[in-house]
Amino acid sequence: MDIRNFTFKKTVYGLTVTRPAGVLLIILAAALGIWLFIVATYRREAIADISRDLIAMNAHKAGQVSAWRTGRIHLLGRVPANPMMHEALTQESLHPGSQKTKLAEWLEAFLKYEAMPSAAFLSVKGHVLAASAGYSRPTSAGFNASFKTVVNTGAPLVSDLYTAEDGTPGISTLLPISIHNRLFCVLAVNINPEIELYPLLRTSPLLPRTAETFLVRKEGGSVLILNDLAYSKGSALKLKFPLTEAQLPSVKAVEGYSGFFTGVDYRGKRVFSAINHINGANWAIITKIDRDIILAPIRTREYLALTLIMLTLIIFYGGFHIVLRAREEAGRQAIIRAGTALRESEQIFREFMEHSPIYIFFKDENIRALRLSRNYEAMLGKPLEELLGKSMDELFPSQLAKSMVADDLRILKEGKDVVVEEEFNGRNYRTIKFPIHLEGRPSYLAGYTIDITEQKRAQEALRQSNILMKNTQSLAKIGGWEWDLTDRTMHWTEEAYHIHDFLPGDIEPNAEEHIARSQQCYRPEDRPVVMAAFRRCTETGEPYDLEFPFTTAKGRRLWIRTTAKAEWEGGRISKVVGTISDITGRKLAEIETRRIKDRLVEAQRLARIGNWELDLATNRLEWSDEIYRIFEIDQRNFGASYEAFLSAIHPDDRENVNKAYTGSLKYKTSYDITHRLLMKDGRVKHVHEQCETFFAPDGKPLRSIGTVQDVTAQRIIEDELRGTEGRLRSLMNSMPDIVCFKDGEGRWLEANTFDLELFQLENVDYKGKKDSELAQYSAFYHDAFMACEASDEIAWSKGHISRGEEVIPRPDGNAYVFDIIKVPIFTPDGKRKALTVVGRDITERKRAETEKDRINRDLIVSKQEMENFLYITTHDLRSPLVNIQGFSQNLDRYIKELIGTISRTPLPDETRQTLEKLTGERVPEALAYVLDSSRKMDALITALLKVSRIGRVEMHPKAVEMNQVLKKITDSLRYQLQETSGSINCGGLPQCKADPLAVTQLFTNLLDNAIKYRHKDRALEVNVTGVIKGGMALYTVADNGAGIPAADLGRIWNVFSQADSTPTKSGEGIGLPMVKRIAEKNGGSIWAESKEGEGSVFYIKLPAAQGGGD
Amino acid sequence: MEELDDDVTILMAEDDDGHALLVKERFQNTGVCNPFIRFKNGTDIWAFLSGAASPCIETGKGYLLLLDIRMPGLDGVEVLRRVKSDPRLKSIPVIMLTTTDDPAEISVCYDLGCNNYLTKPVEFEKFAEVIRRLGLFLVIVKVSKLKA
Repeated sequence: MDIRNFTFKKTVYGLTVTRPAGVLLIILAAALGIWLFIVATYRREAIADISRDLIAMNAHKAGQVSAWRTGRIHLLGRVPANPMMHEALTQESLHPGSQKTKLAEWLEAFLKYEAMPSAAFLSVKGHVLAASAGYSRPTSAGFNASFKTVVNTGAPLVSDLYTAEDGTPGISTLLPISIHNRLFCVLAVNINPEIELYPLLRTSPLLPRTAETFLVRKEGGSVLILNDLAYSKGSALKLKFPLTEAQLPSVKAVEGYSGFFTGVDYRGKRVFSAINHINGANWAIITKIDRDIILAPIRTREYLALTLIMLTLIIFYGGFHIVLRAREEAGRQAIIRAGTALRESEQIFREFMEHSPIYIFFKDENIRALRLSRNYEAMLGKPLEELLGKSMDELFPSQLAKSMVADDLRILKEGKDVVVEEEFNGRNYRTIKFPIHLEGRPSYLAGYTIDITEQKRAQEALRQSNILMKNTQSLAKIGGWEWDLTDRTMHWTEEAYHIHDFLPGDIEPNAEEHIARSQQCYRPEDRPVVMAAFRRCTETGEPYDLEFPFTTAKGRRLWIRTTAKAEWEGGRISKVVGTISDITGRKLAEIETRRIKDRLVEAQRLARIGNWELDLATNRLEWSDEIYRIFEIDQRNFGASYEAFLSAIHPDDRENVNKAYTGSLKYKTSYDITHRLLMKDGRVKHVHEQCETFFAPDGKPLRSIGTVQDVTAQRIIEDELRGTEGRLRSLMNSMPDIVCFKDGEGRWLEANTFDLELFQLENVDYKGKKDSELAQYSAFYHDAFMACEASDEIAWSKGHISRGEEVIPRPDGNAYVFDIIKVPIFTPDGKRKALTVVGRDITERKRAETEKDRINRDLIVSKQEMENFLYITTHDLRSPLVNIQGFSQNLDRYIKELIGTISRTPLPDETRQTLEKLTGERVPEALAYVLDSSRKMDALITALLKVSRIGRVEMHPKAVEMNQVLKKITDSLRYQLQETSGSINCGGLPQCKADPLAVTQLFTNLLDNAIKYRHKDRALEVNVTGVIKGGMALYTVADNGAGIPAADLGRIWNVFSQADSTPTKSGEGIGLPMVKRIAEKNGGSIWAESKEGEGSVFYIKLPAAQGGGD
Repeated sequence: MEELDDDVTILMAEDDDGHALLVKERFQNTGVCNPFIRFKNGTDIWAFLSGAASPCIETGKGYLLLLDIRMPGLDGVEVLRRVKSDPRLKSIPVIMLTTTDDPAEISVCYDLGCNNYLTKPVEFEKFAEVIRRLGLFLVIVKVSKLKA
């Protein structure tokens, strides 16, 4: 927990109160910290001071000791310089023991002088040479060691401390004396350390009482104290400590340490010590002070300081605490008071919220409900506990709730009050929401909701009824007005204004103004009437209901109906209420209706049709005027009734009519009959009657209505028509052809007997049935009917006469062919109306045609065969001819050769003559005949081939531009024409449809012939002309040639016939036959006319080219 | 008279002996002395040409064909057709010799690729003319040696 929590806490009231313990602890901790810091610093300083002093002191002491030692040696240094002693010693050396006493005396004196206890001269070996009184040679190891050292080194020294015989410590100064540069003896002067040395160790008064300085030296595995310690008497040279006790300063000293050392002394007390080493000796000097004693004053001061600090702090804290507490207390008191007040108001509030009729809410800044009035439970359908602490969106998740929450947040942010009306669960609420600010920040959203459903409903109802009234008035075009006599106010409804085409604002609110303005709309002659009625009503209460023409303020022409009645109150008229309604529509309708009625009557009269109505409940019959006229009954004298009606009917028809009518009643159908009327003067009229009866839901007849039309005139016409129809029908039925009438849908209307018999429909009710339906009646003709229907359809779709052949099988196994003509008839607007079908039996003709075709085909085939035969034959005939000709020519050559040879050969004359005759005359003559004949044959065969070829060649008919053809031919004959001074003239020639090459050939031949057979006395003139006649192009080639004798005219077309006088003519005689063949092959014909000596005309007929060519 | 190429062999198909003799005489009269092989019908000449018979057509040699149209077996038109369809043979010049002068027939032969068409009986002058022309033709075009 952080410091704050440690030191402060929030109370129930939200105050921040200090926690005493916490604060205290913190303060203590702080104080302790400070104190410890101070202490440590101060102590450190103190110890530093002490250590410095100690070290200084110890060093000083060490110096003293060293100086003493040096001094001692120095002291004795004088000795060897003493000549007497020297002499003595020399003597001694020479004569040992001789000087003993002398030396001893000297020693005594020396000692006295120097104030030393005892001394002795020792031999090198250690024997006493001379000694002072009371001298005892130490025997300790330490002394011996020192002695040996002196002997060895020859240097004086102060020995180490040793234990004398009497157990006291002793120390000697040893001085080696040399005689004649040879060590002779050692002067050993005992020193009483007690007197000489130890006092040096006395601590200075500068140091505290507990300070102690002592000497130590290492001895084996321990440290030897060399002087009496303060707290351990008799320790000199006796007290030892093992070297393992590292805490002892003495141990530290003999380990070689020098300096300041904090350790534990032989008493077990903590001490500060300064350690130094004595030069020239293996002694260490230690000055120690009891730490506690040193620090004691410090400690005291420390504690003092601590106490002081603590005290201060405590006082401080105490004071602070008291202050706080006081404040807290005050605060708490206030809080308690506030709390009480709050609780009280809370209680009031809670009560209020519990019982509030209006919905009150408090929401926090997250729009979560903090407080809700109890009635929310009912509204939202959840217990209050569930509702609190949640936002609307959390309770009823929806888009609406989300937006509500968002709105609320916005209100909170904007800090404005808001009034909204909402609907929830079918009820309307008005909510006023306002943010509550605490400390300037919006903290709560508060608000209340009132259920305004009832109020709203009432408002709505009122509004609706207002609208309804307004709409009603508007639809009905009725305006209302009210003239309150008591306060003389006039009130018009909106529609009233509207009818007048006033705007409510246009008229002064007072009544007079309204009345005056309204009056303006009536015609001048009507105004007094209105006013009078109005006045009467106000005065006497007499109501009125009047209709007038009306002109609105905008000039609209209306009819209005104005009504008024009075309202009484306490015996007096209090109000006059009235209406003004626009009845223009109705009025106009009335006028119209009357007009229509008049027209109807007129129309009925013209059409001679009347209508009646019979009310079956009351048995009341109503007749229109026309019925009376038709029945020639006087309206005035006679009432309409069913019996009267029946009596007018022709007796013979009465029964039928009655039956028809009652039947229609019984079977609930309408009826439609035509019957006769018998007039009083015996005239018969025909009437056509239609009737319809209306029934109640339970089947009871309610009323009948009907029309009666005088159709006498039509009847006459009909009868005539029927007669005509009868005649026509008998005519139709007598025809041996198919005659059939069908309607627009293909249903048979009428068919003649032949047709019916043909299709086995004699006993079938065929009228109104389609071919497909009739097909059922005859299994045999089933397909024929279907085919019929199909071909009908074709006729329809063609839209005009369609003629074709239909094969109809007959049960006797033969098939008959009919030439069927179908004529579709359309209504003016193009719909199918009727179809007439006429058919003639052409079976015989067909048969004849088929036979003819067959014969023709056979002919063609045989012609074809013949032509082929001709072709092959002529060809094969040619072959031998070639040989004949060829070899004849050869023979000719050989004969010539022979002639030559003969002429060259000597021969007897006779022989020569004979041979010459033969070779020159006979043989050539014979050969000439042979050749000639063979040539002729060749020509004939060639001609025949040409003729046959024409038959074999296929014609490719095209539109031939004859003018061009003739031009070409004329050009090709130019030479011959020039030769003979002939001319060929062509008129404008129509086109024909033929094979162009063939036609060219044809005309070429003709013109060739013309040139060939021209008159010898005159120039040839040929005229070629052509016309179109009856689908064929007729060309004429007229020449002024020799002409053809009448007897030959027939033969010219035969192959191989030629005109008699032929020497000049060359030709095969096949020209004309070929020309004929060509003409016929192209679907045309050719013939000739000629007058011998005048000329000939050839006529060539060829199919004309259609339109602009194929 | 021009000589035909010495290498060229003249092959004639003619069923009538008289015609054959006449033609041969005419050739000789125009000075053409090339080797002459006569076949009696279309089948035989085709056998020769196609290599079915032996002896048969040889590579490296030039040929000239004279065909009569009307022959038993394969007629001249058919032989012409076959020759002109065969890549090896189609360069051989062909002269149709026949009695027919049917223009349809003539055009068929020319369509098939015959080089010339002579009608019998063959006038000497005409024949000579044709041969001369043929000689020219051969000089210009050079009858290609039959390729293997």
